[in-house]
Amino acid sequence: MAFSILIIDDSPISRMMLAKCLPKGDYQLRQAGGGAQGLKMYGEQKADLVFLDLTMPEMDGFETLARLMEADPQAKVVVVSADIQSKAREKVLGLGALDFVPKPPTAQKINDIFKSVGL
Amino acid sequence: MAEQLGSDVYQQIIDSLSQGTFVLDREMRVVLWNRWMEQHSGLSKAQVIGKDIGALFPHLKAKAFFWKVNNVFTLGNFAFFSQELHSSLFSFSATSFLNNSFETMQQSVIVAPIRSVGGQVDMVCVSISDVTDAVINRERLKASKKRLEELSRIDHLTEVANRRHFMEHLEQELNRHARQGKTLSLAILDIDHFKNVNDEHGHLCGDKALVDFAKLVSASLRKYDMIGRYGGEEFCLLLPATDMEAAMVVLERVRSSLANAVFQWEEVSFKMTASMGVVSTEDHPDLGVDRLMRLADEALYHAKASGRNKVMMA
Amino acid sequence: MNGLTEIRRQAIEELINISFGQAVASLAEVLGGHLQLDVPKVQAVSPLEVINILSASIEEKDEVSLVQQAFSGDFFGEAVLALPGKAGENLMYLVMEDGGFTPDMEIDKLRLEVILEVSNIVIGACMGQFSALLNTVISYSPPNVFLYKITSDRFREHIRAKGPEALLIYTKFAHQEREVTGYLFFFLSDQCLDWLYSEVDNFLDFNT
Repeated sequence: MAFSILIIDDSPISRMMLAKCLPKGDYQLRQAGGGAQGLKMYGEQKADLVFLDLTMPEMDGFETLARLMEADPQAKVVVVSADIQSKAREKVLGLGALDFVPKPPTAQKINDIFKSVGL
Repeated sequence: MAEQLGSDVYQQIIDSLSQGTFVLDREMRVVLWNRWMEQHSGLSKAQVIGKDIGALFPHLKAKAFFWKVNNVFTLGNFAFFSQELHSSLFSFSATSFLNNSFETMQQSVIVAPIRSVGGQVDMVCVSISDVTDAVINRERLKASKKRLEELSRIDHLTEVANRRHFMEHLEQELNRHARQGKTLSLAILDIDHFKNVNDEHGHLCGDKALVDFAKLVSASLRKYDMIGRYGGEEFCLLLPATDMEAAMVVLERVRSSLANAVFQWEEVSFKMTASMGVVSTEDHPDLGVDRLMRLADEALYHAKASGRNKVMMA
Repeated sequence: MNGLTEIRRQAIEELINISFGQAVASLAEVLGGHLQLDVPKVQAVSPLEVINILSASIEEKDEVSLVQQAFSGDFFGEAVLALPGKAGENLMYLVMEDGGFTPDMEIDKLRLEVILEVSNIVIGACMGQFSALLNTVISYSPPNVFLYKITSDRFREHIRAKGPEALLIYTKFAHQEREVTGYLFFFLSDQCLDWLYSEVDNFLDFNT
């Protein structure tokens, strides 16, 4: 019963850091280096949980989030970001994100998120 | 192995510091007040502990003090109050009697966050340093430099004679020429539309243009002629033993080499011209420096009024 | 020690990204409004490139204020926050509106004070978080402010004097409602790069 995780972040280091926080389990992990690529991958195959960065060049996290939710209103997206302003947080929750995790992510926090999504 | 000093020892250390040290809690109340603070504020520990610093020093409200201290509480950074912007954050009397041009102590203030075990900033430590002496020395140095410039005879930008030196020399030459029955000519040059150069290309370009202008004019002069900088874009020429006819030849040469020259600065090139007014003592004997200057100036005015880039006789 | 490898560069970029996020959030608390973050770039570049970056985004007639603050500890160098054009003035208005304090200072001094304090906050928060991520603590000198016209030679001289080149990190922030854009540069002395690279390697081992 493999489930699928998608990480969208332009920084390879950031993706690695997040991957390290993921709990052990039987799931598929895909990574996208930008908003456009992330949308494409999601379109090809839906992910059960998406981790999304905000500060990306070309298409930023806000736009990516909006388009993701439009393509799939049931999408489960958690924003993981260095931009920790309360307005950024409000904005993404308003756009339909599940949660907001400040960088650097901790294993604890990621674990909690997995639990809350029932994974 | 770190040694724990007793709290009495810490108290003595804090009281021995040669700078003001006090601590505020989140409500801006004084929690610690060292001896330096007592001595310079005239307020004892007993009088201030537990009191709101704003009540003790009401003028702090207007000096961005609380804004910055609040930032230290919320954000945990260090805050700095430089003497240049704040001079005397706290109005204490200056301490040195011998030195002094300052009545109030010049201060540099630093605010440091003090964290609780949990990492929260629950207090701030304010340090006041007396920098009056440093400021006095700095001001003295500035004044010396200024005096030195005044005493020297050279305009520091163009390196021609400065105004004072030129006028002194002109006075001397007038007297000498009068004694010897000789004629001297005096001209005032003003660069045309110089303001445009500054506006279009900036002040640095303008400065370079002045330097190049002065060089060019100097190169067109004869051995005993003198050039001086009179004002921003105004120069004076002293042509000894020269009547009006000879003066016109020299000045026309200056005018045309200027008009033909191309001035350069970084990637910009442009041209400049100058207007000139000239007066000769043969036509106006027995006139003093001021009157001669005025006549030359009137001639300059006419040169400007009739199209610029020309030489006019008084 | 192999210097700035690609993976180290990316790691430093990410660390600064995280740190800068903290800095901007701190600034937003002081200013109100939303601040836009740029994606930071880490480059080993010459000071001339700093001038090019700034010149590309600033109109010739404008002045730029540079706040320079030195820091030291296990790693050391200088941070420079460049605020072009009206940024300084607009910051002043933002602070007065939000901070609600009516200062008794002359407008010129107040503007400088705001520029200094904002820079102090941004630099302190960014460097603070960066050093915390690397498990160290650094200390700061008081900041200094300089005002230049972008085309001025003195401005170029000032930036050029920051050599020999060390690591340059640059990023920028912009305020949504008012015209306030700031460019943050870090010049890290080449004498501390060995330490920095080894700490970055440790960070990578531990976290990725």
